[in-house]
Amino acid sequence: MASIKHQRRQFIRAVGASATALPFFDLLRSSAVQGQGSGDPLRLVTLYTSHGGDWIYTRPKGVNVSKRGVSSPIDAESLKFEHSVLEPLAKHVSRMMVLEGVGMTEGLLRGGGNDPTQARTLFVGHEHTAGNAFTGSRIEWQGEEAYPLGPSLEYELGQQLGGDTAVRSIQLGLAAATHSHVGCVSFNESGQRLPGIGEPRESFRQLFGDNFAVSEGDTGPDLELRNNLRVVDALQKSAERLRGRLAGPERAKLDEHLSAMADIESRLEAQSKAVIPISCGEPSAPPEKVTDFQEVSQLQLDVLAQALACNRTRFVGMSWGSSISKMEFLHGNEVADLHSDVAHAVDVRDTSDEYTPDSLKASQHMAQVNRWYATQLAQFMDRLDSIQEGDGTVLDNTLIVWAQDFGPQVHGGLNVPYILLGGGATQFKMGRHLHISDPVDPNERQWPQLTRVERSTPNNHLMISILNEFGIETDKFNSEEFTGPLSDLT
Amino acid sequence: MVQHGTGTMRMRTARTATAPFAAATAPIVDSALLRALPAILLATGFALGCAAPGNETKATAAGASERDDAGVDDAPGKKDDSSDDGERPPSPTGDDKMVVQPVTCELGELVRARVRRLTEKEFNNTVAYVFGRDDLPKLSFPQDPIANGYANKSEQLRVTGSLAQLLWLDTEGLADAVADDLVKAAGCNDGADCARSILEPLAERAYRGKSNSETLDELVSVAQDTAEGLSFEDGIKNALRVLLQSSEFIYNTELGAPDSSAPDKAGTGVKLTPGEIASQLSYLVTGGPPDTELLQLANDSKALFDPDTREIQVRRLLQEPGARERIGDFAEQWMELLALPKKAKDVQGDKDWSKVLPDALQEMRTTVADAVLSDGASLADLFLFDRSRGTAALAEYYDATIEDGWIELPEERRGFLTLGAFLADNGQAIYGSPVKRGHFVRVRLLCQDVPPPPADLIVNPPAEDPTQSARDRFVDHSTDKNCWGCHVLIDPIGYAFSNFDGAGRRLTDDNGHTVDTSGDLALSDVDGALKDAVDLSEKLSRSQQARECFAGHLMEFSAAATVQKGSRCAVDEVASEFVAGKANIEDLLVALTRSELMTNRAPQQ
Repeated sequence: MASIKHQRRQFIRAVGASATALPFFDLLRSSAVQGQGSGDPLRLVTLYTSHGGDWIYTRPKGVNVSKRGVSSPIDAESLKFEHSVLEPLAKHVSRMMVLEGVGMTEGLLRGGGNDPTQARTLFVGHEHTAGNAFTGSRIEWQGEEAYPLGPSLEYELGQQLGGDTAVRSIQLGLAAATHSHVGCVSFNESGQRLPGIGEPRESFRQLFGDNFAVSEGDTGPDLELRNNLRVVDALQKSAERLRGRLAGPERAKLDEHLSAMADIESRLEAQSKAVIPISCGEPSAPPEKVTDFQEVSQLQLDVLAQALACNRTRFVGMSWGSSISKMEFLHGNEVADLHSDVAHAVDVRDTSDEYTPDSLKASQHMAQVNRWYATQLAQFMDRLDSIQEGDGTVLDNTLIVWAQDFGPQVHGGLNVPYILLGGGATQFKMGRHLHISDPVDPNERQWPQLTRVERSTPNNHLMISILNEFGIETDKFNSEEFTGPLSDLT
Repeated sequence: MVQHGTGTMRMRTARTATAPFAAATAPIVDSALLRALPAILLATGFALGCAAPGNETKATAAGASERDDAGVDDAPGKKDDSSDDGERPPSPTGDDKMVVQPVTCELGELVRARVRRLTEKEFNNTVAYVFGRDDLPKLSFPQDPIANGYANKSEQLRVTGSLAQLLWLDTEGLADAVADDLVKAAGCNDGADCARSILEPLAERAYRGKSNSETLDELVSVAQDTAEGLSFEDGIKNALRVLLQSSEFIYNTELGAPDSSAPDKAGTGVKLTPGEIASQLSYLVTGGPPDTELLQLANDSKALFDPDTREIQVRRLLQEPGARERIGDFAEQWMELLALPKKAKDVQGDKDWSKVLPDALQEMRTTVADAVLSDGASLADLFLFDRSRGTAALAEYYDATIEDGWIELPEERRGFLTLGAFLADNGQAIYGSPVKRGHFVRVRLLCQDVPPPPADLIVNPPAEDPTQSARDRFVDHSTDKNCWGCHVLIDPIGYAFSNFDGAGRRLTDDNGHTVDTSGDLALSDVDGALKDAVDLSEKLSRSQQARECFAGHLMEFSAAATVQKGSRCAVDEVASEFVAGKANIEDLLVALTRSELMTNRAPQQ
């Protein structure tokens, strides 16, 4: 009696454990929305990598940092130098904007809203930067745990705009400690953590489900859908019964639960109405129980590329690496603990002439780590760019925002590298380096320099600009103090 | 003696108070001075203050770097909010933020009326019990947030979008695995009555006293609706999907009777229902749902309000296998070991930590559980045991002998502070960390706060210089006035562990220097010079402060909630015998279950 052919998949198409790239990409040439004529969807991927950025190796060659607001064009050549972090992304340089001078300003407020002095500090813990990177929020301590006061960018966009995809927004961990406040970068509207999904296989399941169907045919309500919806209905009634007895934060738990059920319901209906089109290929699931850092990273990005191409979700938050990542594949036995052995040994200056031999070596180690991230990211962009969508590619309609854990100086929350990638369909002018803080006077290098807080650009402005790009008219994001967009981007 | 939770031990950060140490000028560890300080501190109303940063000199300290790996973090900028003066910290986002627990000295008011989502283990244990099968696939939840080392906090356990989706997908597999057998066993395969006869006993167990005609009718109706187009078995299967994902299954309620906990009745205290008490006792002690005996007691409106009845039940449940797992869970979380498997360790040499890591975690869990449940251990016994439950590989790692699964610990190891799991968790990749180890003892075992490094201090760990002894690397801490004020409270404790490296291996040689395990414990009720870690453990085994602190942790775990530190006074009465050194840990747990923590709740917010 079912009117469509549901091809039940037990997701057994796992590739061999040794294979890291999913063969699916060889077949994939156009996205799910290709040819639907409803306008191409704009997507956002936020990406946070552990540890800090060193401008010496991140800043493209020959750019102008003499004053605030100055913009310098960049090309592949300007990314080419020894230890260059961004060189692996040279192919995509025309779709890159390097922002220098962004501050995690609200996150630098000591003790968040509890601090009677309301003073900002230059150096903060990982909780303050992870919690702030994509919320722009101040960080509040509740007992031993730190929380921002509002949602992360991708979650907010998913809640507002993600209703027409299977998953409003998804949070992924790529070998990251996202259960804890030092690695979690995604939060709901109450500032509660949304730990990233760590296993590629689980990411796949969350995005595609167990029983996805691939079909070209038109579809209608069928028995399976009806029965699934009957189950959802019973579950919603049960949750509503309990919710009726609750108040305040307890009621909020059931609100979240009910909202998750509503998402499942719309996903079921969407799945029935618009099964995965043949054009986007037949998704293939990654193997289970992968723990190797490199393999997890690649598989997560592969799953993500499939999901974006098949329009399963449009909003993604990723946390990559943790403060205790080993990454021995980069360093051999020389580095046992990236956090203690490398990151904390970097004492980055604003010009290269003041490195000690040890800090220079550590800084180059760190550049090697960030260069590895850039290499993986370049491959991910290659994949998105190989998939046609409208007049361009999926990459054109995907804005990637890569932020790092810290700026220069150990535990420094200012001048954190924010790098925009892809996003050709946005109004943002790519292919350049944009300097958005007051220039650094080398003579002011002594600590502390709290006045420098005021000289950098709070990341709230960047996030407001991004929200505006997605059509959300607002001049505020998680800060009463720093409002309005960053006009220099367009 | 330093008292805990009375208001006199109030903690301030260096930023808001100038501590007495700031006045001390000698940049060396002066034990005599330190031991004289408690009286001064109490008189001035401060506890462990640190030297305030007096200038802008660049200095090195290991503070944040030593502690900011996953799970444990005290970095600059952290606000200390251990105020116990009755003021509630403001909740900036209002109602939908976390539960901010009231500061109270009444156990029954410690936790607000609430719902608590089952943890992954509790979910799987409940499924196994409901269907009477331990061969069913176990669900693997997305990792829940960890707060203060504990993974069971009610305010952290939510049904997020990703958990809901996982349950949606995986409960179908579970239902698939059991439906056909259930129908076969029922001896009928048609009609509402047959469906009811299958589902009713399952719902009784699954909903733990919350099953009623409405919930049962709904299950039967789902089965009937599905069977219309498909088979009877499919109908049962769909009803089971509802059963396993419904709120009655997923959440334990601690709300009292429906009419007493309605939001419009907010403002009055809540008495839990007998069913809620039964569930709470059972999940606390065994990690699983209440059994028939407990559910029968729950049918009596008064029985479980009687502390003696609860004690009989708890002592009975402590004999169940699940109880061992639960004590193991507590030990693991109390020791903050949940992040240990992710920590990078040097793997050079013939003793490879990665090969014994699972054994070492299991050693901590099983040794503590065995001591508590089989030997009636006191806290002192945990500090002092001379054998542990381990494997041959681990015995070899310790250079120890093993017999019948018991490792005879060598002389440098006594009690849990000298087991591999603690030492590796509180060590760097290669070297041991006097800062982490000392900090753990100060904060986790004595419940004293140590402020984070000042916000404008650059914190770099000492370089791993292969010519220096591990202790010498931290010499800045005792010579730099920016560091000394705090590290004098931490490092001298940690030095006692200098004979163990970052992976918990015994060191006989410290980069060519003689291993020096001398240290000092100050500002405690068992102060004194330390010979080594065993000496430290011996001192701590006599500490009343450590017993008070431990009781607070067991209460926090039992309450499954974040509690304000000031509320630890609530444990005073119930734990008085334990704190006085007269009770064992099992008795402490029983005392907690005899208390109003099991029967009463503060009203919802």
